[in-house]
Order: sequence, then structure tokens, then C-alpha cells
Amino acid sequence: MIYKNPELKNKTALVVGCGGLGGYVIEELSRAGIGKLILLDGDSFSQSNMNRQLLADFDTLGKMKAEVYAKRLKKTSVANVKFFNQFLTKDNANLIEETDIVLDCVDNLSTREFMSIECKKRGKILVSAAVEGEQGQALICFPEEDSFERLFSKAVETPHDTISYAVATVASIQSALAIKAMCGIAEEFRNKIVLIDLESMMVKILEL
Amino acid sequence: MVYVKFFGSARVKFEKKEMEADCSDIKTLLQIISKEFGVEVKDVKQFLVYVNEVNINKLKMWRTKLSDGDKIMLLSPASGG
Repeated sequence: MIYKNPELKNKTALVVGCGGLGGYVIEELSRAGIGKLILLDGDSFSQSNMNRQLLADFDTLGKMKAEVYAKRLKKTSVANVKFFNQFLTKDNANLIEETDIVLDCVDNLSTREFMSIECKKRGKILVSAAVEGEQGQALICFPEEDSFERLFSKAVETPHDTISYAVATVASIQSALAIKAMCGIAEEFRNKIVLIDLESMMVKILEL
Repeated sequence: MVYVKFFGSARVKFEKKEMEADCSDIKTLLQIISKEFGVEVKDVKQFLVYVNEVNINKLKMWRTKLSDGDKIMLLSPASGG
């Protein structure tokens, strides 16, 4: 049973983006017992984040997201935590070397694409997720496959708008996929996308 | 009649969750959708297309035939975080 799996305490995850998805992913991975977390985000909390970002509140407005989450984890988790108040760039992409898995929780295509390239270069698994309205998707991108390209080559940029429960649900599925990948039990999700539609209350797994 | 559902950015772009269409192949369906929403066919071709949950890459792509009652999904990934 995965929730009794001791593997997690030996694993390191890099969470890129500590906003909507990232906030829940950090909470869930840390509480599931992951050994080490590296948090990366160059953004600070703003009022517009309060509708969906876990630690966006009146006290944290203006504070750096990665740093706020790292501080919270000291109270809730024994995980070893490093944080960087930075966006992912070529200057810090080497952080991927230190990790077993990378979680894509960002909100723009160009960073996602860069992350995918850097993970493939280093042979690291990427678990990518995104949300729009009441929907979203999550998928495991093994470095030897082209799942990311097959999905995101079809991406159309639209203005982002979503709701709290969609973010939390998609992030939870992303966390579940990441934990399965870290424990080596994610083979059945290879080349597949998990589609979430809370307008219809549907979760579907499709082959890419 | 076939049943079409839009997912992800496709739903946001067209502001519609689903529709019905009277057609017998994917190519014709794309033309119907293009006309319905006032977009070019090449814009609709950007989406991932599934027929009864099978990617058309594994069928006959745009030449895939459709039967009455088929369920088509048009998907463009969400990109918000």
C-alpha cells in the first residue's frame, strides 16, 4: 500500500511554482512523508491569489511564496527543505540534478517547455499539471518519452481563470502521480493523460 | 449524429462544453466546428481529437470515419497553475 511505502523518505522532489497547484502539492508531498523538498518560485503573494492559493492570506501578501511555504513546512513536516525565491532559468536549472522528480506547477507554456527540456537532458521524471476553469490535466513525462510534446504542442494560450476546488483536485492528482512515480509504480500511466472535469464531475485517463 | 465534448482550453476558447453534429468523418466534423465557432479549420486541427476515447493518431487521423452515437473529444491542454 502506497501510503505505507517507506521509499518516500529517501526521495527528493523539486516543486517549480509555489502558487495554486504548487501550494497543494507541497502540502501533500510533505504530509505523505517525502524526505526532501526543493521549492522554487520568484513570485510573491498578491490579493488576486487569495481565491485559490493555499497560503495566500492577509498576513502573507507581498511575501515570497517559496519562502512562506518553507517556513510553514518547519511546523508541519520533518522533510528537509530548501527554497529559492527565483523562477526557473538556465542559471538554476542544475537544481534538477539534485532531485528524483520535478513537479511542474507553473502557469506559462514557455517555462513548462524549458522545464521539460531540462528534465529530459538530465534523465529526470517530470510530473506536469495545469488547470483552467473547472478542468485540468496531469501527466507523468518519462524522460525517454515525448508525452509532454504530444500534449503541449496542442496548447492554445487562453486567459487563466479557475476556482479553488479545481486547483486542489488537479494538484492532488498530480501529487498522487508523483508519489507513484517515485515509488516505481507508475508504469500504467506511461504515455497517458489524466483529464479532470469538475463541471461534469469526471476523471478520465486517455492515451496520448 | 455524433456527440462532441470540448476540454481544457478548447472549452474556454469556444465557451461551450458540448455539441451534436451530423457527419460521418472527422474532416467534416472539423469543418462543422470551424463554421459553428467562426474559426479556421487549421485552428481546430490544433486540438487533440479522440473518438470513443481513442486518439485519432491511432485511427485514420482526419480521415477517420464516424458512426452514429460516436463520442468525440476535442482537447487542448489547460495551462494555468
